[in-house]
Amino acid sequence: MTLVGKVAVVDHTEGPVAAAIASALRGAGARVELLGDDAPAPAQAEAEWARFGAVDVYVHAGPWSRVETAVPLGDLPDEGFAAAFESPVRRLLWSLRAAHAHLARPGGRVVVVVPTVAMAGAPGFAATAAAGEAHRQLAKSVARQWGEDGISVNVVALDLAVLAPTTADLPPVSLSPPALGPGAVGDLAAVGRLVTWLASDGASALTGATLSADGGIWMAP
Amino acid sequence: MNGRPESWASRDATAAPERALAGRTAVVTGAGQGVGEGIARALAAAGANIVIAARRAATGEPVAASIRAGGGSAVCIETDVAVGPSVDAAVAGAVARFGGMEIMVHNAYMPTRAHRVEDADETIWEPNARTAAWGSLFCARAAYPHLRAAGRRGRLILLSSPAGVEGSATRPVYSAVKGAQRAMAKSLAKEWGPDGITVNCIAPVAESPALSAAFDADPALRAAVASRTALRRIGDPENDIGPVAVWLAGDGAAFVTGQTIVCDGGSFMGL
Repeated sequence: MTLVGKVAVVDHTEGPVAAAIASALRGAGARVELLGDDAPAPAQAEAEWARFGAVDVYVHAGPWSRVETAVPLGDLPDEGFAAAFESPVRRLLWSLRAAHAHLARPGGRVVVVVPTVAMAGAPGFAATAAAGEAHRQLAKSVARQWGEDGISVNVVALDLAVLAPTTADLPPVSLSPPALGPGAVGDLAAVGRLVTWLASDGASALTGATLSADGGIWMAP
Repeated sequence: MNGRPESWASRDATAAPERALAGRTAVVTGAGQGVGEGIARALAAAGANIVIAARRAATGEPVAASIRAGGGSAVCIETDVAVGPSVDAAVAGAVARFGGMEIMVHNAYMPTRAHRVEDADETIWEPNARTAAWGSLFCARAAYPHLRAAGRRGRLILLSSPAGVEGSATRPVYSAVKGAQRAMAKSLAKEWGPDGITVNCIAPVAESPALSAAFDADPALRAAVASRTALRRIGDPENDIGPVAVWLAGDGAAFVTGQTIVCDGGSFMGL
């Protein structure tokens, strides 16, 4: 599994997951470019991506480390919904829009990281779950659109506790414990290897898929 | 009680199925046409008082008048689901007129043109986000105190789409906001479950104004879409989608929450 000669862009490097993914991609031989954040407007996103030439791999690690404490939706003010839902989804949309011109055709790979609460729902985190599911559906839709160019788009789902380690009151997404044991839930090195595989030739048949890399907690379709 | 759950005792076993929602009040957004109108008519036929929450009275009032002419109970309140205070006013109007509300159905949506993600812009994002995502927030937030007061009769139903389950090759942003509604429904189902309120989504493929316009523009499209369904036809809002909403709103679905019911004639069969 080698990415020698490949260029990868990884954003949202403020969180622990992006750093682990970047490290794994470097370990496989890729040259990794970091974006601290993604852009709030189309023109800004295009300006940020302008410094890159051809890009083989784009990993959108997402703003999930910023998720704050649980707030019932009935108490959530507009600005809270804007921060937890609108801003993250907009930023992914503009990032994908800007990335398109740079991605290798064929062979470009996009990986979008989401919390498993996108699929499970979470009391107190409705806006975050909604943002996560919007990410997942956007990824599927882009997979359908960019497939003809030979670009694949997949989703990696992690436990929100791993993405946002300082957030309190996180609800479980399953009645069952992690199948691979509690140590596997936050195994970021394993997550890095999974993303590296998704970026490699071995994953060429896969697009529009969601892979839950949470140690075996969430197992629904 | 004979060991039965309390909810069983609270059911009105004498109500005929066709009047299963007698005495309850439903607010239906986007009920001036299409799927919303079909759901409103079906809920009214089941005995519910209906608030037609339509953006324009010119479309909503005739639907309300038609329901009243048929012996039902309905009023129209002009409502813009993209504006929180407008939704607050619709809910307040429903409660003032009928003494409470048990059922909130958020169906309103502003269609946008087909797009590729690399061409998407604010003109695509804004209508989608404001009507589907923010509209769901506004409807949920405004309705919650009244749904909580209704206890085990409280219902929030969000109209999503199969595109919110399997993505969309022609409307990525639509797909994103429709998926967002499903995750919001799951979260609220867990959040409001202790109050007895259920929260579900319906994902229809039915004759909406937007779909009908597309069919009119491309006569081959109707047959093409129908041919992809197991039942070989497009859904009818009142007769195919409405009864599903009636069931979700009634006592028979009191133990169903956090689900997406795909009503598309058997095109998508994901689970």
